[in-house]
Amino acid sequence: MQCQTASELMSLRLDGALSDDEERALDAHLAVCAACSADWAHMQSACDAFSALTLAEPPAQFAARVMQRVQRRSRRLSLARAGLSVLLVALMLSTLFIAPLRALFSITESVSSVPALISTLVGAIVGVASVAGTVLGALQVVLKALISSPTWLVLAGYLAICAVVAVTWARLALRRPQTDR
Amino acid sequence: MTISTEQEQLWVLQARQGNQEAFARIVEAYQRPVFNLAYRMLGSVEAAEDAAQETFVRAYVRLDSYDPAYKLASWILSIASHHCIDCLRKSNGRQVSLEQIDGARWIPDPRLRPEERTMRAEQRHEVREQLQRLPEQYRLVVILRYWHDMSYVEIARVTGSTESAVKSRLHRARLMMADLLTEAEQAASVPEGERRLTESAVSNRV
Ligand SMILES: [Zn+2]
Repeated sequence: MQCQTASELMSLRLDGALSDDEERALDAHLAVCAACSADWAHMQSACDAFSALTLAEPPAQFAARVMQRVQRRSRRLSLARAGLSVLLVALMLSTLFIAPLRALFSITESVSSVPALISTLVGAIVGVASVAGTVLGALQVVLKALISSPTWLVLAGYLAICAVVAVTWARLALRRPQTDR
Repeated sequence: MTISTEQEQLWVLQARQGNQEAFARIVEAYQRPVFNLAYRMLGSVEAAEDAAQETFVRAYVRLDSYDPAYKLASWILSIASHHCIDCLRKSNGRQVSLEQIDGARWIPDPRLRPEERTMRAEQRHEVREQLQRLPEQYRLVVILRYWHDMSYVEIARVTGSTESAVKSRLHRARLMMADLLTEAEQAASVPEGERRLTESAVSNRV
């Protein structure tokens, strides 16, 4: 047996992980190799020292302090979630109001012709009202989903869906005033 | 520390639903092993307490990713291990890759091998100090083996490595530790008369 192999077996022996054959082979090598038997005594005493070290006690109030930290962290997490939902709602609102806002801008442009002003104004009000209804419904759904969402993965899913909806809406809303003209 | 697996899984279930009382039970059950792991890894009580607290906070946040097929203790200690290694790397600033460490052969110094020696009780505090000089991954396997009484398989799972890597790290850690302790012993307390004797013994061997 080579000394390197013997050294590896010594470490395994300290863990009680040797087979009977390996035990015998190691003993046979230790009997004839002075360097390895010195190493063996050495390794044993180092490991006795490991075993002799006792467990330390955690500081008093450790668990209580952990729970304070857990509470702070989960408060911060729910704040982040709330912030995210506000951001989502703002995003949806801004895209949904693009069409009526466009219409309002066109009112100021065509302020000279009165019938056009009235019809555009009515159109804008109807637009805002219908949009507001949709937004309120969507808001309710989004907030409910966000508050009860169990994981960040689900949350990310909502975020993706909302982004898609917002972008689609923005495109539709931006196109409409152009077709009016 | 004997907690039934059923009790443990119940706590996990309740904590996942936001029951912080249930999570507090988990913290109480595992504060000792987690604190000890951090203490042995980081070497100071303050750093250990902070790391141990952070470990539990992370466990709470990631509770959904816990697989009940494994022991809860292993999962928490695995979070603790990774966090401690991160802390050490941040504070050391040095990056020694594991391949570098595992690949290099530790060559025992024959001059550090007196014919016969035994570990004295007063040397125990040296063990604690010398443990801090081992590369962090070696220290980790020693800690898990000796203070957490883990098998090779469990250590491999906790450290995210293989069983054979664990065996070889333990082997090298033991060789290093044997040398470091002898070195410390010789440097610390050898009376003049004995020192000459030791030196002549050393020169005889070389
Ligand atoms: Zn040999």
